[in-house]
Amino acid sequence: MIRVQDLAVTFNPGTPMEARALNGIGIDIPAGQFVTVIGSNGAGKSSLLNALAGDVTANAGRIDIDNTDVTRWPATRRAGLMARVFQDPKAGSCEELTIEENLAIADGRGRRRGLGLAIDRRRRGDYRARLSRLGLGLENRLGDRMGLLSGGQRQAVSLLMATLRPMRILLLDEHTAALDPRTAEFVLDLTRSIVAEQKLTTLMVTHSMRQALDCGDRTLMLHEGRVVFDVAGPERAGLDVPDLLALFAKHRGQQLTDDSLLLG
Amino acid sequence: MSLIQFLGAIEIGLVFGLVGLGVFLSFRVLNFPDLTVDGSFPLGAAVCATLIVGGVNPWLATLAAMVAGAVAGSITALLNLRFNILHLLASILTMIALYSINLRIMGKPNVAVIGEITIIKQLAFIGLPNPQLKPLIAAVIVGIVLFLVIRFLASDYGLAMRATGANPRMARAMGVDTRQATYVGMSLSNSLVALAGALFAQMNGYADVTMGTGVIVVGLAAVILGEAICGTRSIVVWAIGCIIGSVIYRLAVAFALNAQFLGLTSSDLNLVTAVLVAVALILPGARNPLRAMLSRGAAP
Repeated sequence: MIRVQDLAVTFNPGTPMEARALNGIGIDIPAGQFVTVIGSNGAGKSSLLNALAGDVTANAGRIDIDNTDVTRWPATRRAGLMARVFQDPKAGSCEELTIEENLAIADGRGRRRGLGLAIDRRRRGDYRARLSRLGLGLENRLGDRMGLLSGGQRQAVSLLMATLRPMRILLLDEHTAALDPRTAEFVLDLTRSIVAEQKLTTLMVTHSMRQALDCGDRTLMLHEGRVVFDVAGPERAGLDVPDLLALFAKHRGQQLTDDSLLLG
Repeated sequence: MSLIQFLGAIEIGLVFGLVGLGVFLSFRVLNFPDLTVDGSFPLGAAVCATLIVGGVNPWLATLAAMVAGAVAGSITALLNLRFNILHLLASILTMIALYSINLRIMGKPNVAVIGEITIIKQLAFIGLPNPQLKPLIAAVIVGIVLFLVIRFLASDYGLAMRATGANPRMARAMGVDTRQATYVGMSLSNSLVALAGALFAQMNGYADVTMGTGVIVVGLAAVILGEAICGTRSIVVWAIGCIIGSVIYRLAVAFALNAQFLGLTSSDLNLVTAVLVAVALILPGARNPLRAMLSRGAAP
């Protein structure tokens, strides 16, 4: 499980550029829960994932994973606990390296990387079997460079790389945003089946209200670095996109009235 | 070009192929533009020559040269990673410092190892005359090193190092310690360059404090020529290309210096090198006449 307490992330503190990305956020996510995260630009969605993954260090607060305090752990060490898929299909893999080399890098997560041959017959067979499950024909292209694949194919392989090793937590940062609708649907279905199969605790940031309600079993809305809306269970099942938009507008609206007061 | 000159070009091309391999590791694999090379090459020569003159076993002296090169590389990495100095500047600082260090090691601007027991002398029992023996020794050593480097890059750790250079954020997300990989890669790169310096000193009979000038450009020339000729399809081809590029470069230089009608002398070497590297960098890969020339008649 993940427990976030009073987490604050401020960029350029003490300068005119100061920006509060996370403002004392607190979240409890039980093991195996699939949480979707929405919010407008600058709400702190990506900062939350970056703070969880250790890409940015928190100014205050703490993060516990399975009752271990990981607040001071660097990204490299946290990689043993969690995997992530980035928004940009190019960010999650090395385009100059081949598909099988990329998979072999992912295969080393949480293990000591030694001088043994990275790709042997056993691993190659394993990768081929896993790739064939994607149904993209990539199992016959193990030696192709990652850069030759389309965005959707790369994202599918990124997802495979993220979940190649037994893993507890999966962080998805708008991982379908850069894809066309059909490919996005395919990657999303793949996500659902992998999450269900491996019983992963998942945080998925998304730009799509539809996705946020259709996927997973809990939805968080962030605004100005805080959770403003947290819904699960039957209440969530009763929600539709217009309801979410209304909530969105409510929080935006408050800000607007504040502004109009200020300007008036 | 006489046979002796031809063999001499092969020999020096093979030795500088090790520099090419080292430059390949820093510039291409780690994406770390490293000019330490200009200091670690004479460092290798200085350490090796001084130890040999002091009566140390030449193989041991060569090994010590490699260790010294590794230390130089890790200092550049330290300046960059620990103190956030721009990689290019960090390597220039190490390079400049090494000039003084090399003078300290030798105690004078140059040390002669002619007449001392070098690895060439130890292997003289093979019975070949020196002009043939030296390229043979170089070929065997370079072959072994090339195999080890390729095997390393194909290992789990080697892949992690390649990921560090290609996409550091992804590497960290995959649990790769990118700092450690950079230290290891930079040490390895400069130890190969120092090995080249040590071999050069033993084959040419001296170590000189100024022998490092422009070594980085020669190393780059080897890498770029190798890429133009062999391509970058796989890491194996890419690495072998560095050696082939280096040898071809030396043959081209020997030819240019020998062609009477060009009127070039050996003092024009640096100019020829710079022009060669510039041309190789300017020409786009697909229209590169070198590759077109060599791929003509080859399968598809």
